[in-house]
Amino acid sequence: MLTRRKFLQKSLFVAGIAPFTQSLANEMVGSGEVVKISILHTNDVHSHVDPFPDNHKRYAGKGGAQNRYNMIQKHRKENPNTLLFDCGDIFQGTPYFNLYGGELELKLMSKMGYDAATMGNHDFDNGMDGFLSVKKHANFPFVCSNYDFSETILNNHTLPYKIFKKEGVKIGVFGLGIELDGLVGKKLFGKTVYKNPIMVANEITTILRHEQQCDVVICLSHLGYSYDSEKVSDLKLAKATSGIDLILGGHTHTFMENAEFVRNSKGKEVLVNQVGWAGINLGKVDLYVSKLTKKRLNLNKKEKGFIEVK
Amino acid sequence: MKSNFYLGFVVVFLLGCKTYVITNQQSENNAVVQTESKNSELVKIIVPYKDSLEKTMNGVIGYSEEELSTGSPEGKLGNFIADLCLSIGNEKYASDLSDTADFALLNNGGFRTFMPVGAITTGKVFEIMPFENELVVVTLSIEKTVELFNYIGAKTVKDGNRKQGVPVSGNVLVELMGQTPIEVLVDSVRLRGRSYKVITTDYLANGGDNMSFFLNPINYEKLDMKLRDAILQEVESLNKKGLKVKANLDKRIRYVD
Repeated sequence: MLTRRKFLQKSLFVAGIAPFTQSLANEMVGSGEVVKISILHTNDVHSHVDPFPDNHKRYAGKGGAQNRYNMIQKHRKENPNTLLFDCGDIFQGTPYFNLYGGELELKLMSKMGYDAATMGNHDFDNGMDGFLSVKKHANFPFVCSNYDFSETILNNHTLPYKIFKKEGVKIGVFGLGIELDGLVGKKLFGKTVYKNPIMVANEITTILRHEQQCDVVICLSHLGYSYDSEKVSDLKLAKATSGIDLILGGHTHTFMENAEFVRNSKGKEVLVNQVGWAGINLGKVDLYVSKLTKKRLNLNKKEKGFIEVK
Repeated sequence: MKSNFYLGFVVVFLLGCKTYVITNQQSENNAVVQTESKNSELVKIIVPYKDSLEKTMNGVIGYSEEELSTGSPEGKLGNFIADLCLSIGNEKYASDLSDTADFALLNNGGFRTFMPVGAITTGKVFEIMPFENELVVVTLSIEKTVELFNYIGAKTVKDGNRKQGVPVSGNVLVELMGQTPIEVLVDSVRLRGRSYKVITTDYLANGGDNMSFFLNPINYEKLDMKLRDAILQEVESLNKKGLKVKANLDKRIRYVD
């Protein structure tokens, strides 16, 4: 894979000037050499349908499904190659869930055009039957790769992964959930089998990269950003695996200004992002995917002596 | 011939190779705020749910004889809720897991407002307990149980404010001399060298409010019931019996100095 630095060098080469600017990448998008794919994402929205009230101490006026939808539509207008994901804990947190069991949340997400979501621990709060009874209001799939539902009523109601195509670019998306035992009542998750996220991630990325020939691999995670303990987190996952380009997270309600670069087990860059909770922020990661051929990439190697931009 | 085969293989391999690679990334997480957009597509979906929700929230589920608020060394609201947690929690514990807990312990910080005198609505109970905390039963060793009562001693203040004090169920009696518990009775029996089963919330059981004595317990069982739902259930069942919410300051936590 072309590293970021090489791309920057090439950009400098193309423009013949330093330093690299974002407008350059945009120029390359305009020339058709690069496809820009925008990934929008939320996590831990926790049934926050309405914006926070105007007298709220910290988040007055923020969030709200309608406001989020307006932002999403604006981004889609700017870039039709946009995907929208949620990383779990859609449910629980306002009386909307207590009264309607998640029906409204899923209806709104369907209208907003979510492409996929993964399940968080709170999405089990009304049991698997509670989830199943409202799932019909979702027109998007739930990708759950490390929950084995085969002995439960959710069997065949989720996907191990989903592949999207944007201008010929294949984007493989899979989902990782947190260990439910201790977090969720046993009655609620029943015979769901939790599988080691790192092992499952390696299996699925192999399938996505090699069998399915995906160009980009995205993980929707509800593992949590980071822990002091040995518990698997997004940072641990990023470091312990290879083949994932982007981990969109949840569970720990971590507010990040933007995505963080982490080196994977092969020293390549993985992006990890998370946007707090309650729909206060909307995450956005733009991936510039190059259509450059092998030959031109090789030529690029000779472009030594250019200023390295970090 | 052979080399041609290899050449062909390499060509196929190259063609089969990915021709798309991520060359640059940029990210920016932005606050979701109101925009000038006149779009109200989602609002239209929300309105009927919201109207019906407000109706439910404004529904009267019972009445309170007096105003109940939290306090230290004890408060009426804390006493009321700790008592109902023990009775309702034990009912559930007995039916689901055929067991009984010894007492209940909560925290005043979790109760976000007081119980007013007069009509109690569903919405009011949501205001008192806005969190989704669930009831759990934690089995503690005698050492951890002693730590728990020392915590009560340390957190309790004579004539303290609403945030101070630790609510416990009425079958517990704690006598304090300064910050030190000098006598602890559970169901009128002095603490003994056995484990104790405590009903609390998952938040506290996970060490919330510095309740570290709950960490690494002998056993941790979920009751699949929210604290809020237990409060709602109690207010409703009192109302069905024609009774009003009330609570006593019965000196379950008292100073002897």
